Amino acid sequence: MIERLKWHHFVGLLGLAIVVAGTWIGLFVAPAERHMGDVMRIMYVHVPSAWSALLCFTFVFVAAVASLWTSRKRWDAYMTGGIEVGCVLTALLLVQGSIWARATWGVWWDWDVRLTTSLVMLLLFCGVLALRSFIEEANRRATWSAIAAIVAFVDVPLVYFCVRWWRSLHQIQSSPETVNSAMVLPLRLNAVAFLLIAIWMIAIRARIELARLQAEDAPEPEPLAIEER
Amino acid sequence: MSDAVMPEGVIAGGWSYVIAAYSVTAIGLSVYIWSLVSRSRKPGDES
Amino acid sequence: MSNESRSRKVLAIVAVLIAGGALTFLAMGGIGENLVYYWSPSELKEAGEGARGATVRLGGLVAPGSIERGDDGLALRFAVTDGTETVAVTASTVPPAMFREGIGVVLEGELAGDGTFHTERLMVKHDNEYRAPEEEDGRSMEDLVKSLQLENG
Repeated sequence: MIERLKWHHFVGLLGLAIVVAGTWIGLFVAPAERHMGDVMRIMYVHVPSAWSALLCFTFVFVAAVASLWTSRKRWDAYMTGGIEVGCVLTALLLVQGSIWARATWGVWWDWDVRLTTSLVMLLLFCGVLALRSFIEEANRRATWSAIAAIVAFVDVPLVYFCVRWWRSLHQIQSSPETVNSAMVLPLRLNAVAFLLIAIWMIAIRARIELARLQAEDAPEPEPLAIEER
Repeated sequence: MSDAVMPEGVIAGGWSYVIAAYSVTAIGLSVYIWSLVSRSRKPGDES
Repeated sequence: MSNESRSRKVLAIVAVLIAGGALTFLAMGGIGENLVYYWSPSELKEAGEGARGATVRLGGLVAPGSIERGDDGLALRFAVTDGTETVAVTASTVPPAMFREGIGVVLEGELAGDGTFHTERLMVKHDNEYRAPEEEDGRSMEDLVKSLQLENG
């Protein structure tokens, strides 16, 4: 089965190799934080999860527009893959964030703009997936789920910029100047790794979807005799 | 001696939180990748 | 070009325009004015009577030298400042481990008649500085106030 060794599996394997290195450095080599202590190490999965989730949904926006523009099933499949992987990453993001919040802020959750817009992002894109499963006819499903995805995307820049526009409990983005240089390396390694793993997962999910869409499109098979068991 | 009730401004013993967050992430991603593999093994096959 | 694929292109343009319009509206402060996550001590004092009796959030820095613990070990007294105004606070909760002088806090509670703020939900606001234990924090009170982002809506 040479078919199985496609480019995306190499991307995935590379991502897994880098995540092992990045996590090792993040947990055992990088220093603890002055005030947060070891808890700060959650950053090395939390920030990469956030970045890759936001990039997934940005890709979803592009794929949704391309799907409407070209009417090609391939884009519909890519869009679905992007939404599903983005939702998985956002769900993980919220749980990691909640754990980090309990340790530093003292609460599991608060209706702060960053947390609220992130939860809304997860709910909106889950809604698009739900919409997809409700529409039977392929063309209508592709059209309306792409439109829903484009509308849901409005929340994605909000998740990123809300902490700069409004007051929040969540801190604003850090930069290399506000982060100890020894902490930057594991953060960057895991950011690249999460992105590669996300691309890998989207590619696999899109192939599953494309196969499903093509099977759906194929002429009805001859009715089979009902097997008696 | 540090006071037990009054915090010192530094989180001590944070590893349990770190382990929890990393475990959730690893398990979450593994389960999702496993679901992708099992779904791509049998495209469109319901049995 | 089929009719269907043309109308789909129109839908793509309409959807992108709607999304772009909504985002521009939000970015230009369409809801920002009515959505204040916390009040600074200055804003709370300015609101005065208007802030009494309602649950509000107060955000600021823990004023240096203001932390006092009551005899019962539960009542905690400190002051919250934004560099201009200071509000006295009583908290009936055990603060998170990072609570200290000069750290940002967000408190949910009520302003009492005597001008003290009573809270049962004390949250520590960490800023975006991540430093190793041996690094000195050379930031002034002014720098710390900046990390509160009070200029944001």
